[in-house]
Amino acid sequence: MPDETEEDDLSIPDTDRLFRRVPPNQLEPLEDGSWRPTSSVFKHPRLSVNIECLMVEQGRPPEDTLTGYPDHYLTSILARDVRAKGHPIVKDTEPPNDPAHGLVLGKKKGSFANAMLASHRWIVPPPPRQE
Amino acid sequence: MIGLLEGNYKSGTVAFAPHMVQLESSAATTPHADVFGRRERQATMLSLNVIWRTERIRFKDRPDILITYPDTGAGLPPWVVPVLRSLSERRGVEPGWDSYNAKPTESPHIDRLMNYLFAVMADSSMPPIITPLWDGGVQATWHRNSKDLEVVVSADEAPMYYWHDATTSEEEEEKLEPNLTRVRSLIRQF
Repeated sequence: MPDETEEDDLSIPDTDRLFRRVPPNQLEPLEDGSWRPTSSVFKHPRLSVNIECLMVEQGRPPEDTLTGYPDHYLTSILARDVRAKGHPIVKDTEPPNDPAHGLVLGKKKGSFANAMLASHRWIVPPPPRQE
Repeated sequence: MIGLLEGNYKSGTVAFAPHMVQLESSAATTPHADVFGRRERQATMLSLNVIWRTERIRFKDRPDILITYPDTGAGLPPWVVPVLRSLSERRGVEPGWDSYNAKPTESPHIDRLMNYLFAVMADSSMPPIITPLWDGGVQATWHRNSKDLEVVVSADEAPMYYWHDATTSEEEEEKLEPNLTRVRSLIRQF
């Protein structure tokens, strides 16, 4: 398990996407009928993600992160955006963790969580709302 | 603004702040009566010039919610039922509800959030969306026209508010308690 003082793992490229599952109760409706995650998705001090380069090595598509969680959705943030806010990213692949598992370390402020909201990209989005 | 309903009657602890308590519908009868009894005794002791009203809110397929609030004669403020519905639908119930390691949403944090909402909301305020936090806490979120406001009651630190206006790049993140007037004015922007 990575220590809080562990340094950023620079073998994870800046351009890598970090995949995070989003449960239905952490969605927020937008004016255009779509959804976004709430900022609370990105506030854990040891934020679990799946790391893109590891999933590619393992021949797994991003959607594999949702295996076993059919009611959840999948979003992604960029390693570059995380590092720009000063948060280290480390691999955390020891069993029983997912072999592509990683952590974004450090106490998260609202400014971090909302910056991730602004730049996140859905991989598996929720269906549009029907009013 | 203080409510008079105990939040943790099962352990016998009396708390003066919480406005609400969630009941399991199958076990509501005895605690319900006890809660009303305690509330009446406390109101007498404090001699406040406020009428405290308790209402039971029912949502389909959800546990009933009892809420005690200071009634000015107008009844329950319009924003309350949407907030309670949001809470009822979205609170984290089981450990790991987020598919990672989130803790279940804890009632004392809901109580604290409701107290703050009663302190900062006007009757005409837009109801926020309620979202559980990983640590058992809870946050209220307003979003409209590129503006975001959050009131965050987490388990391990003082309640905070976060404000961001993407049209002006204005951003604030401060402790909630000394800034209730500011938060009140921000809510009016939604």
